[in-house]
Order: sequence, then structure tokens, then C-alpha cells
Amino acid sequence: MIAKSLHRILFISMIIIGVIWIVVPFIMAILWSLVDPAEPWTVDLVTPPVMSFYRWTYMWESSNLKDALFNSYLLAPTVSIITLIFSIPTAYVFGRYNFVGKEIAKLLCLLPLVTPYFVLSVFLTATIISFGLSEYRVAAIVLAHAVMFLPYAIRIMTVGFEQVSQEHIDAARDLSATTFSRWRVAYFPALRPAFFASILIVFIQSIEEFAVAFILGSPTFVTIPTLLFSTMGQDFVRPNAAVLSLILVVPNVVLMLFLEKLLRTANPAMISGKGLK
Amino acid sequence: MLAKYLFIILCLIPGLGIILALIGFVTYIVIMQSIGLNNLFGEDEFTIKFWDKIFARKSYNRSVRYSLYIGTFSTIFSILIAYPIALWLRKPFRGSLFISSILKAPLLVHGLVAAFLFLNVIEYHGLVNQLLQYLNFTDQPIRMRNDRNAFGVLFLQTWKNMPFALLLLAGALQSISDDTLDAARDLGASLYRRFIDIIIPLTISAMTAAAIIIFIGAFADFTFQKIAGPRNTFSLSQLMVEYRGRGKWNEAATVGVTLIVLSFFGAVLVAFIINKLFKYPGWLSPVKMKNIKSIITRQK
Amino acid sequence: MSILKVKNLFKSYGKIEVLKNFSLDIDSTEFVSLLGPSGCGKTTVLKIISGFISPDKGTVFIEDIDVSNTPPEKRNTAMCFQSYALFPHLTVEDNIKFGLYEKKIPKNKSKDLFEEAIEHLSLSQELGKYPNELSGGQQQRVALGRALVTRPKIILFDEPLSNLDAILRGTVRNEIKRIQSEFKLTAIYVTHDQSEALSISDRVLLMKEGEINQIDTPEKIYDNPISYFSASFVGISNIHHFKNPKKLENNFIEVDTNVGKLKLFYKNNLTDKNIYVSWRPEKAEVGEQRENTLFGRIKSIAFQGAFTELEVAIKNIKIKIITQKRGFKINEEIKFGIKPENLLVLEQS
Ligand SMILES: Nc1ncnc2c1ncn2[C@@H]1O[C@H](COP(=O)(O)OP(=O)(O)OP(=O)(O)O)[C@@H](O)[C@H]1O
Ligand SMILES: [Mg+2]
Repeated sequence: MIAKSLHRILFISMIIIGVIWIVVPFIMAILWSLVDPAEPWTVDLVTPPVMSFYRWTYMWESSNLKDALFNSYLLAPTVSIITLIFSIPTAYVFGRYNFVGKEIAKLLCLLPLVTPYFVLSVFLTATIISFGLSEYRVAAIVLAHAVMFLPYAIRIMTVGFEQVSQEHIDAARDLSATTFSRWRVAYFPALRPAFFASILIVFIQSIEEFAVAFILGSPTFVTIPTLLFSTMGQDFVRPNAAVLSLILVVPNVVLMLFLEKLLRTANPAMISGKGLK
Repeated sequence: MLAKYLFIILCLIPGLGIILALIGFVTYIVIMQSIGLNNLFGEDEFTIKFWDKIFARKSYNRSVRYSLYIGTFSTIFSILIAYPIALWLRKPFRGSLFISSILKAPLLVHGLVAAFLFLNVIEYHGLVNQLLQYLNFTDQPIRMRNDRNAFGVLFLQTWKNMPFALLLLAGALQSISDDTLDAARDLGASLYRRFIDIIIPLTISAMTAAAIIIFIGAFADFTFQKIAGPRNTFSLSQLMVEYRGRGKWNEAATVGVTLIVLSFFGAVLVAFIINKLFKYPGWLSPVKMKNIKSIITRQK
Repeated sequence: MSILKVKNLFKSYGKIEVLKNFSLDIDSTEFVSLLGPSGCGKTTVLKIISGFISPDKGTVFIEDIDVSNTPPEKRNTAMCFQSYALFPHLTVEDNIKFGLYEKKIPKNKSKDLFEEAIEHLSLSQELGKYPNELSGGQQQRVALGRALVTRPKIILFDEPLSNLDAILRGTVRNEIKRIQSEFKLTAIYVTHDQSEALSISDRVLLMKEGEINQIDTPEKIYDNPISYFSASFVGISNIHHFKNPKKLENNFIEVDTNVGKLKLFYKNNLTDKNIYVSWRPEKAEVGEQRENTLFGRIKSIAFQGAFTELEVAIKNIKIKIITQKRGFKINEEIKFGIKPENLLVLEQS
């Protein structure tokens, strides 16, 4: 009885907290993005006095937004493909071989997760400058992103490789399949969800990444997060920041829903990909 | 045999190899620059003067303390809030999926966006203050952004990191089978002892992973600090970026080394504390208490 | 002496009635098997006895004390789970000692209990290992040790052997039986493997759809099944629907079946429910002339070494015969007889 009413109280309060947690901030952001410059939204008003899409068109036309979108959406797919390619051989031996020191090797692969990103980016810049490679900043960003997100890709792909059934491989072998067709028949179908999961997760991480893009990229190479950061700096124009925030969040949510669906149809063990081990 | 190991090493190169190379190289550069070598500009000369100088700096020491404070409390708050919720959500019930999606939603929200969203809520003229004023709890708005105790930063860190802890802890808790808990119950374990002796020890590794990652993230935070942190104190990352901006690479390197070293020791300490506290039979365990009691009585 | 009494249990989940008026009485040191098809409610019975599930109606008495409101941690029962449910974070030693700690058994006494348990289960080599480092059989023994180290009044097994391979199954089964008799434990043993139930138990409780179908010693269950269900579930039976029973002298009756008229020995009065007659394949006497002589054509022959299994068709009706005789041919016509006392009358259900 007590347990039941406790449960009910918890349930209701969680819903309320959830609303305050997520819904209220987002409604505020949407409202702020619709504030028309004709009249400011002052403290005493519940909703903005004049609402329009002025800010959206303004941001689109007069800021770096176009560049930022272009850069971000070029950077992220490049990084996710490169990361995937880098991760495959390592994941393959983690998933299909037993060898001395495998556990240590797996642990070492998590190193980027415990490296402070700002140290990495500041001193990667230092390294690049010292080698006289300043023009290759964008390539350095790609490389840094690849390394930072390799732990996710390796982990997900390892689970993927573990799930390829030995029987399928052997069957393919029995039928004297070549190495290539063995991969096509036995590995690829089993790995497909892992490919997608890895690409999506790295994509999202790369789109969101701030430290490296900010330190290595500024001031010439803008991404959506660095642009947002700069609008939140000295000349903080709240409605503009609101527009950028929404632009940064919405595609993520869509991609995440995609990922969730993918993982639900794939193996549950893969979900732990995002949560390390 | 040799061929196999050669193959394995070859396969590890693009993944693990690149990770080790890049992180190793950057770590090497940071350490070298902090002792005056591998300089970008000027002569290389081994010296510890940068360290002497930085240790003498008040702002540096304040930053160390401040970053440790943010790291520690963000970790504690995130886990302390996530654990009971994860426990509650262990068994699915009607609406549990909905609740856990709402709670995990911040995982999808970029830190900067989160910061922006909450500025609107917790700022001087934000929603909370307006509400408080409207309800006559206070007549002056309360400072929640850039406040001296960095509550704004802690709030943001917890908001962003609690879902991550929840994700890991819920996974660990859900993988404890009902049979395991029933078996403990059958053997006479009360609710409290099932919690202390079975549930908590079985979630140690998830808790440690969550705590380490949250601690390092919050400890090395730059963005939340820059946006919502106190104006008169810098976090270590902020200090490092500041030095770099002024071209003081060697000073920046000392701060960088500090970040790396303290992250590492922080992680080790977090793992050690969690293990000590919660391992079966941990300090909290009645089994252990009994042993301690018996040792004490024997000594008397 | 009765140690466990279960009276009139009812349990349903939503509209599904899982237990219907289930009652049971078990004596001290008895070994009772619960045998039945999947989903008939065996686990539910165990969980009600151990207290994890509370019944909708009915009571559980342990040593004549009503324990209906006692939580599992205070009941003097121990359960061996199908999944073993060993604590993965504890060594074998800590797993076994867990109950001793939790039940606050005094140190010197718990030391004796522990040592006795590991000696009987020959686990002294494995004490420092973790469950994932043990073989299936060893895990089973640890689960057993953990359950019986606190000397519960009743030990409950839920299909303890289903995760083991066929060879280990035999060994561990004998081990369970040996330990049960050495420690003088009362055991309830859930299984859906009939040979396991027959070989190990003092009594077998046959369950169907939440009800007791038959409860008897293994021999009686096999020799005298009382229902269609028990005759077909335990061992192999040839079962024929019958009509027009006619009373003859000396408790003999004669009935019409699809294989012809059969004469059988039946002391009791027939009721409306008695509509089947059955016999075990090994009761057929091939080549013999008896009261019940039947003719059939051999459809398949399976030589098994000690005996031969025949499938014989009598006017399209297939029956099974087990015989020691040899030298049969497919499609050969054979003659066999069944003694009237080997024909059993069954109830519907
Ligand atoms: N928590 C529950 N909610 C709904 N129905 C349940 C629940 N637990 C058991 N049942 C149903 O009760 C019936 C009996 O379940 P029980 O587990 O006792 O069967 P069982 O005889 O142990 O079967 P098996 O041999 O497969 O283990 C099944 O039809 C099952 O679906
Ligand atoms: Mg069952």
C-alpha cells in the first residue's frame, strides 16, 4: 500500500520534473527565437509581444550560419567514415581473436575518453604550428575527431564482430567462398547494424564537438557549436542564440531517434556501445 | 603463432595505434613545453621556472581548487540523483519507458545549447527568479548565473551528466536477474542487505565508469564555466586557453600537465573510493561491520 | 511427520488461472517430484512455498505453522534456481557463506556447517574461484551448497539440471539424491523430465493445468496411471477409447474398442469418466494365445539391443509393442495377447 502510493508520488513528480527539465527550456528557446526586434521581450510579459521569423531569416542571411552548417555537415560524415574505417581492423581482432594483452589493449582504446579535450586541442595546435603545418588545420580537426571518437566506433564494431556467428563463416568457407564473398555472405549482414550505429554515434559526436573545432578552427573554420559559442560571448543576442540552439538540437534528435530504432531492431548488446562496457 | 601476432599488431595499428600515437604525442609535447623544451618560439632550454612561477600564482591555485570542486561535486550529484532513479526504473512499469526517455533527453542536447536553455531559466531575469518574485519569496532576483559558488555550473553539469550516469547504472541494474535477488532473499537477506551486499557491488563497474568520465569532463570543463561560471575564478581549461591566447605556451603547458595529472589521479582515486566503499563486504556492509566490531572487542 | 502442508491454493494472473485448488502434504525427509508440462504452474507452486509469490487464496504451513504472511527471508526454505543464481561478484566461499552471514548464525557453528557442506560437495578446491570460472556441474554444486548450508527445513529445486549436458545430468542427479538423504532434507524437485522424476523421488506429483493429476510412488505412477494424461505423459501407453462395458464374473469386464473386444480386470465401479483403456507396450506377449488376442501388421521395427520396438497396425490403428523376441519382418502379420490384469481403465482428463 505504502509502496504503491510512493510509486504514484514518484511517478507524478517525475513527470513534473521531466516537464521542467526539458519542455520548459525548449519552449523558452522557441519563444526567444521568435522575438521580433520591433519590440523587446521584457520581464513583465509572459510571451513575446511581437512574434515573427525575422531572426531566422536574419541569421540565415547575415551570419556565418551557412558556412557553419556547410562545415559541420561536411566534417561529420567525413569523420564518421574515417573513424569507421580506422576502427574495423582493431575491432576485428578484438571480436574474433584471443591474444595475450587483449584486455589491456581494449582498455587503452578508451584513453581518448579520459583525455581532457582542451589539452588535446591546445597542444595539437602547438604541434601543428611547430611542424609548420598550419594550413592543414582542417585535416588536423578531422584526425583529432577520429581519435576522440574511435573508442565508440571500436567498441560498437567489436560487439558487431563478436556477433558474427562462426557457423556462418564456416558454412561460407565450406562452400569454398573466396575471402571476399566470405565477408559479403557471413560478415557484412551481421555487421550492418553495427556500421550504422557507429556512423550515427560518431556523426552526432562530431557535429557536437566544440573544443577541437574551437581551438584548432578559430577564427576561420566555423562550425555550428563554435558559432553558437561566439553568439553567447560578449555581444550576447539572445534571440540569435535561440535560433542557433534549435538548429543544433533538432537534427540530433532526429538522428538519435533513428539510432534508437536501429538499435532496437539490432542486438540489445549493442546499446551498451554508447555506455562503454 | 608469430604470423598471428604480426597480423594482430598490424590490425591494431589503425585503431589503437593512432590513438596511442596522437595522445602519446600530445602528452609528450605538453610535458616538454612545460619544462622549456620543444618550444614553438625561442630557444629550447631545460628549466623548471615555469613550474615555480605557476605554483606561486594565486590564480593557478584557485583554479586547481575550483576545478576539483566542480569535478567532485558534479560527479557526486549526478550519481546520487541517477542511482535511485535507476533503481526505481529497474523493473519496467507502465510509463517507465517514457520517464526514462525524458530523463535521458539531455544526452541529445548539446552542452552549449543546454547552457543557453538554462540561462533563460536561471538568469537574473530568468523564469525561476520571476516565479520567486511573483510568489513573493524574494524581492530581489537571486544571482544564479556567474554566482560565486558556481551553483549555475554545478546545475548545468548535473543536468548534462546525470542522464549519462542513469544510462550506465540502469543498464547495470537491469542486468541483475530477479533470480539473483530472490536467491539472496531466500538466504535471509533483508531489503537493506540485498541493497548493500548484492545490488551495489554488482553496479560498481558501471558506477566507476560513469564517475570517472563525469569527473574528468567536469574537472576539465571550459564551456559551462565560461558561460555560467563565476567571473573572478577560472577553471583550469579556461586558464590554459587564456595563457595560450596570450602566447604563453609554456605556462599553458604547465596547466595542461596539471589537467592531465589530476585527471589521472582523480580517476584512480574515484575508482579506489568506489571500490573501497561498495565492494562486498564493503565498509558499508553489515558483514564488514560485524568483523570490525569483533576486532574491536577482541582488542579490548 | 508432516513438514509441509499446502492447502487449497488458488492463483491467477489476470484471466489465466495458474493454480486451481492445489493441495499438498509432504512428510519430513521425503523427496517429492513435481512433474508436468511447461506452463502448468510448477514454478508458481515453488514460489508460493518459498514466499516469493502470495497466492490469491489458500495457506502454506511449515511444521504446522501458518507462514502465509512470512516473507521469504524469514521462511525456513531454500530454493535452488534453474539459473543457479549464484552471486557473480562473490567467490565460491562467499557464495556459500552468504546465508550463514545473513541469517546471523554464530561463528563457531557456521564454521562447522560450512566445512561440512564443502566436504560433502567436494568443493574445497574451488573456494577462491568466481562463479564464471566454474563448470556447469560445479556451479550446480555451489548452488546446492549455498542452499543447504543453513540447514533449511525444506529445499526446493526448480529444474536444477536443465542447464547441464546429458552425462553430467546423471551424475549431478545422483549427487542431489545422495546429499538429500545424507542431510536428511525434505525436498521438492521440479522437473519436466519423467525419467528424472521416476528415478529420484519417493513420490511423484503429476501436474496438469494447475491441478494435481496424480500423486503416487514412481512405481505406481508407472504401473497404475489413473488418467489419460498420466498414462500418456509418463512412459508410453497404448490407449483406446472404449464403449459398452459389460460386467462379467469375478470383477472382469468386457469392453468394445477400435481394436476389437477386450476383456479386463477392474475391481471398482465404472463411472462416466472412465472411458479409456490402456496398456504398456511391454505387456504385449507376441505369439501368445490369450483371452485378448489381437492381430496386426508390422509397420516399423526398431531394434534397441535389449529389446525391439515394433509399430503394429490393426485396421489402421497404430499401436506400439516392446518385445524381447527378434526376427521380425516389415508387413509381417503377427499375433499377440495381453493379460486382462495388464489392461488399465483410465479417467478422461
Ligand atoms: N508474472 C506473471 N504474469 C503473468 N503470467 C504469469 C506470470 N508468471 C507465470 N505466469 C503464467 O503462469 C503459468 C504457469 O507458470 P509457471 O512458471 O509456474 O510454469 P512452469 O510449470 O514452471 O513452466 P516451465 O516448465 O516452463 O518452467 C504460465 O502460463 C505463465 O505464463
Ligand atoms: Mg518453471
